[in-house]
Amino acid sequence: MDWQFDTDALLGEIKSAIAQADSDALEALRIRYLGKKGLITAEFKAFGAISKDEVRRRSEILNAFRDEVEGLIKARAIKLKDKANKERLQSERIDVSLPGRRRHKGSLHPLTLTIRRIREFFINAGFSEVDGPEIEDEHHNFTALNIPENHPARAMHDTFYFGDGRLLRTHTSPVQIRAMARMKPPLRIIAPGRVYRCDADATHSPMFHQIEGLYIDKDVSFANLKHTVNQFLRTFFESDIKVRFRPSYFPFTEPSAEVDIYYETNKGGDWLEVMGCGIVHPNVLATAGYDAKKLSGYAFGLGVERLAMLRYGIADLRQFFVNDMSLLEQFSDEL
Amino acid sequence: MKVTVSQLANYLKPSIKRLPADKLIEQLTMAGLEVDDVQTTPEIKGVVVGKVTEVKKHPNADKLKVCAVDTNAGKAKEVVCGAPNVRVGLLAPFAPEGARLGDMTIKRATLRGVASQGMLCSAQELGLESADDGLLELDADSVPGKGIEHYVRVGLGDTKLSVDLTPNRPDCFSVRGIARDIAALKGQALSKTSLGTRPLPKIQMKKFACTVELREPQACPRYLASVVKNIDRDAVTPLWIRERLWAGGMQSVHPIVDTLNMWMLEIGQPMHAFDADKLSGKLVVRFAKAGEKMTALGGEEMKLAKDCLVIADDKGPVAVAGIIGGARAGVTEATSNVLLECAFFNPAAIMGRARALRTQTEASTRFERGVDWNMQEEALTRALGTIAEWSPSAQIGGIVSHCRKAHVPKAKPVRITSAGIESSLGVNIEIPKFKAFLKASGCAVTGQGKAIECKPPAWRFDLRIPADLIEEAGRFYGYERIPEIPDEFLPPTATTESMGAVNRIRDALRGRGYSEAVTLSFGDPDTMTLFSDDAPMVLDNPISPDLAVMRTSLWPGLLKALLYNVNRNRDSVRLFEYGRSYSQAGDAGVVVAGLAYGFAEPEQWGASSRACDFYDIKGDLESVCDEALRFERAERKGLHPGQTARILNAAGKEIGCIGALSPTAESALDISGAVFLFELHLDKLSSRKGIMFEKISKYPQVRNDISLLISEDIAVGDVIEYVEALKVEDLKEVFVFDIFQGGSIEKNEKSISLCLIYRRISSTLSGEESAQKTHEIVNSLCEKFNARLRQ
Repeated sequence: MDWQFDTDALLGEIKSAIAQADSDALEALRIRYLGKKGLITAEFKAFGAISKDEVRRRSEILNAFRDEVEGLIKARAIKLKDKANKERLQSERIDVSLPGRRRHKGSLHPLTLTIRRIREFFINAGFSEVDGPEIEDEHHNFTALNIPENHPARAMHDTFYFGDGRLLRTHTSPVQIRAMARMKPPLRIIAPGRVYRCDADATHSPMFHQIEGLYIDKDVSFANLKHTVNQFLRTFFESDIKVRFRPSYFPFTEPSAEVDIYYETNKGGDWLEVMGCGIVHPNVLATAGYDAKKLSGYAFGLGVERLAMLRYGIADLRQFFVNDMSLLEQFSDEL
Repeated sequence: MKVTVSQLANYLKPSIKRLPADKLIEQLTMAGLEVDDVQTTPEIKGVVVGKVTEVKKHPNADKLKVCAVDTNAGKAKEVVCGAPNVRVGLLAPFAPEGARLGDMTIKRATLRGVASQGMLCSAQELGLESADDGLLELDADSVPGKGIEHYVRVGLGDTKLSVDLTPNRPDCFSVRGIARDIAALKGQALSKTSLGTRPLPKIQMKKFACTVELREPQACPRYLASVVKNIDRDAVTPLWIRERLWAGGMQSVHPIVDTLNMWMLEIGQPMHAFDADKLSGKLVVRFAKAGEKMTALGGEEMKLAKDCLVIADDKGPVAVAGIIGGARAGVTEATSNVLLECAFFNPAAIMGRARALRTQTEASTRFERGVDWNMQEEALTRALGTIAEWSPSAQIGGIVSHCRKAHVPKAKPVRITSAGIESSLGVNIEIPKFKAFLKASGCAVTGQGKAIECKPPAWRFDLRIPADLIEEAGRFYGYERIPEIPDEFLPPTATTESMGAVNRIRDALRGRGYSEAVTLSFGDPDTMTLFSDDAPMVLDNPISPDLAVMRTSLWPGLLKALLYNVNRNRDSVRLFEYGRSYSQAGDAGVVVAGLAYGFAEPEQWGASSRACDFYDIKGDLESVCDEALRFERAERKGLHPGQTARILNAAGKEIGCIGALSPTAESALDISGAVFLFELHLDKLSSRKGIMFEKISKYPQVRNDISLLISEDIAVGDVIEYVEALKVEDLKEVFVFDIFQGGSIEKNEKSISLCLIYRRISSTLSGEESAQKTHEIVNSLCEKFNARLRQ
């Protein structure tokens, strides 16, 4: 009966050791008491020849002691982990207000954005996009469009010539002629692109952009044209904008119209011309080899710069072609 | 065409005449006669006729005079005046104290110590568009004290309109023509006006011979002439003529010329006056002979082309028909005998000639679009009557009419039906009302019910086919009243595939930090030669020498934009443009070109600034193209020979070029700092293939890294291609993760580190299997490139 195990004294000693232990010291304590070669194992091994009751009694004492120590170590470990976590979080604090890692931001040109916007409407309305050459001949740019040589309407187009009969197209209308030669009616096309006029001042650029539209089918009327154009302008300006059709003259359409929108600014409102249009002239259909008695159509030409200026509030047409980064960057969020 | 509301009202019946000016303007615009400028002249109140009875020197000012002005109201007013034409006997507008000129009320003013009891006025001060800033000289029969409004009928407190006429409406190049269209839209005829029907004085017409030979009856089927002798050389142009010239934007030059110009503005017929004493022999209307020249009225010598119609006498051309008179037989202050010409020239014989001579005149504008072919007698009669009015001494010769009737145009009837109108306009219009409109427009209309036949008047050149009449129907009905009807459904066809690729590349470049530019398609020939020796297309008529040729590359335009931005202290610029380039043969295809300059990334905290280099741009292109690209060392004019590559597509076709701007080009353009350029020919890109899903492996991939020592001349691209070409089973990826030179590496050698990644569908690769494959690859490389494995 000389087995002595002073649980209380040991626990007191262990508690004070654990309270000061860091994670390494705690592991050392665990090994010392609970490890394979630790105190408790040693005590069990030292039982020797003792009665079953004595084995049970000692075991109970030792097991209770082990459970107690385990609990104390675990609790300390959790506390240490918490502390370490807190310290880590504290040390890993950053200034979230610093700018993010930046890359150069690109942008699409406002004219491209405008053409896309226009194209989207017409593609959804069933038009197909086609392309045509910018270097044209007299036939496609004028004659086939019912503008004979010496006609005063040619004077309205200050044309760039190359001296060999070739010229820079003055409008996108020659695409009408090329499309009719290539496609079978019914056809419904748009053709955006660059056009050129020998003219440069504050309101003119020698190069600008147009979008041509053409619809040829049976019984196409001015009322159809009005519907398409009105729908387009309302969609483009995202408002129930006032639109007016006013009689005008283009050699390749008859009847012809200019389309004005009522544009309001803080200085008051005024009518602004945004496009020309009309019913395709029978001579144009006939030149293209279409039967003007059976087919009819409408055509329109939109000035892209004008629409872009209205949409984005750009006052000077020439700014589109300077490519100042301060202007271009303003469009970086538009697609 | 410039016209005032009061001039139009002169021709209109009261119901239209009373329309407020803004309504009238809207009507004009909505009828296709676009009013593009409106100006209201100042309101004039209390201005009377004043007669200058005395002119004294101003005691304190050399340029001022002190005048006595009689206004038929007691004592003459003492008025200080500085006008050069002030003289005793002059009748001029006088604004006494209390009179109003627009916003200005005349008050007693003291000018250099002399009190002025009012102001003598110039035409401009009354709002008239005379270029003369002296006092407005009133006609001799003006009565002092009478209100000025009794003498100035046009332009005083009036609304001036500028009507932008389209080439199809020459009939509106006159006051009467515009008024006729307004009236017709209301179904009304013109009113009998005091001016339009001004009774001709009873003239004793003399018989003066004047022979004109119409050698080109097709070009000139009608030529009326009249000789007027003994014209009063001291006569001045009456005010009623001058005010109409000013309203029409013209100036008074000579009473004869003024008379003809005024009638042209009023009814649309240009006429010409020759000094009859300077003509030699009979007049011939013919085409110019080869090499023929004429000195025009302004003094400019004109070389006449053979398609140029002229009026010639024995000594040669005295006028270019319908365009401008010659100086030799021009009317001067010394002229007392004239031959007046009033002709119809066929538009086809005039069109384009004025432009070729760079001499657009009021006459040519009207003749090339079309003048009423039946109006000549009326116009000449009116002109003669007017001359007799201001020069009672004149002996008026009878009108000698030369006419080749067969060549005078004939209006042909045009037939339309209400169904035709409805199918084209989309609306059914009331035929009886439309007929009334056509009749009021001057057409002879026949037919009842649904089909009508319309014979246009001699002044309408724009009514030839049914579509022309349909436009008239639309104009009459009102475009604004035509309904909106949706198109028939037509299924869309796919957008051109190349457009899709263009948009993807544009979006991708934007994503890589490039801003899209739009530069002009023409440029400076010298800059073009920086990048190409090919001759560019040269414009015949460039707007300036630096925009004289079509671009052979998009780079010059982009570099110009770069310079613009660099000069504004931009440190990093990335631009791209989509567009065409041109060769001598014409269109050289659609290109996306771009440049990068400055920092690879924006300057920021936490990263050291690095200048962008070749590989940044190359990476951009690899990422924006839909297909795998190959880059081969190449040379290109304007690019750095050591940093230039041609770009090949998957099929091995050359699709573009990338490189650094050469030092020579850098200094030619005055750019400091490296610029990297690229271009991709969009029409050469492979068409996009649909994506076919490849089965994926469930098992982990295995990575082996190797480092090799190879000669520094060996292109790393070749090494990688070689490894890929070995087609080692399960090898899915090869990439370079390090290149090293110097240090322990021998000179002329470099170390390249490759990462090899293996994956297998059916199972995990063991370490031994992958090591075996890597070993084989290393052996092949050592053999092929004389490489050594770096330990």
